[in-house]
Amino acid sequence: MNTNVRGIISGLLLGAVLLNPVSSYADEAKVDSSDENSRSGGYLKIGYGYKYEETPFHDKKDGGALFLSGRYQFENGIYIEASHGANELSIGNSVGYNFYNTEHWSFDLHGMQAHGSTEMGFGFNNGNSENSDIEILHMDGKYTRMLGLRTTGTYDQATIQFIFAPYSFNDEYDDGIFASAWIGRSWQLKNWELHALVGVTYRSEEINNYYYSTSDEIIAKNEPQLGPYQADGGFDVVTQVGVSYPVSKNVLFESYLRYTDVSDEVSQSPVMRAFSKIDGRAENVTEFGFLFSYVF
Amino acid sequence: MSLNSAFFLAMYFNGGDKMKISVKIHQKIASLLRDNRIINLWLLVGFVAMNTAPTAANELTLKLKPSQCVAIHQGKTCYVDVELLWQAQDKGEYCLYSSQQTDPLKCWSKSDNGRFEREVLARKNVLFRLRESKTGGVTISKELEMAWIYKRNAKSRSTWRMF
Repeated sequence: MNTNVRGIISGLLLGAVLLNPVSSYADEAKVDSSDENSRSGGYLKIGYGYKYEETPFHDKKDGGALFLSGRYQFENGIYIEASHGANELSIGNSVGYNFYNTEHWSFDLHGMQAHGSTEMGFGFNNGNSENSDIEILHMDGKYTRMLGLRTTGTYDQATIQFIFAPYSFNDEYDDGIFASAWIGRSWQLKNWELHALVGVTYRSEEINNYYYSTSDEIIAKNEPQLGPYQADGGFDVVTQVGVSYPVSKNVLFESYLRYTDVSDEVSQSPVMRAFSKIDGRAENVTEFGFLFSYVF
Repeated sequence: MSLNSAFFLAMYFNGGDKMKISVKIHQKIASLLRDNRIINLWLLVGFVAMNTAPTAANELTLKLKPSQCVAIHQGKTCYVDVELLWQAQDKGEYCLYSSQQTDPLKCWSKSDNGRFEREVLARKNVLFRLRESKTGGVTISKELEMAWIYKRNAKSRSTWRMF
């Protein structure tokens, strides 16, 4: 939760930077006359709505939620991006450099969050009675920022995106590999926009072991359910459908349903299996939301 | 005609910073009278008055609801059900035109008001114009404005915002 708050605050700060250059973004009187292939410019979207989320990573969320997303690319190709409130595991804040574009494809040097930070606590009863002291052992992981290449293709209403990131800024483990492939399509029905999205994300064994293998300290407790674990690389599969409707030239209504089939390498790890026993946790991620956003 | 002319002159001479000029003009008029050229002046004044005095005849009003159509992305077709209401002072032949087509959307005969409803599909602003079809002289127009949430640079968005 703290991570989310920090992310949203940093996103808001990013938004404050973005606000000035994009304040006229939705103003039809100020049409950008730049090249159609230019990627420069951006937007900032701040929304509030309802969100339901069941996940193995935190307690169930069911209520009001703040959503924030934005992107701004400078003329020199450097861009900053923020996404909070949805798909928090894989997006967050990003920076990059858009170095080459064709009519349909853009190519970026992309610095992104490949995995959020984790905070796990395990309580061990050191005595035989219930009144014995309980020792809490923590297994925390720093968020992982990675650098890689991203290419995005746009064909009419379809978008395809590939990311391959081999370099990690997290110095607590050797470089792993993060990769993803997405395909999405949108349809217009009057002024409504419907979209569908399918994606696969890959995290190599270095990443999965850093976050999900049982620590030596916990293994030493000889708890049968928390034994040693060696993860391999694994794939998450994400599907999403959603609708959007422009309420006014600055206000957008959106609703989405997203399901993430979490990699077995993660969900079958002893630590995640232990957490899955907590009420309100699920093995995979189901997320539903609807929100009204103000778009600058 | 002469009443209009007098009204025009009074308005002109009452202009605050024109008072010095008005005095000079009065003197000029007196001079012209003496030179028997007053008729030419009144013709000139009358001509100006005819072209500047408010036209009392046949005022038109045209109302358009809504006046804006909002799409999510610039360049996408925007859909909106518009209603146009018009009213004239005099009955006559009136036609409603749109910048999307050359033929009139609808014409009314011997009417002084009318109503028109239609779903409009547009990617750019649409101008509606009501015209008195016999003389063609009296027109009034309203514009349906296109607006959007995200401007055309869709590629910069889609490189990251997959949904």
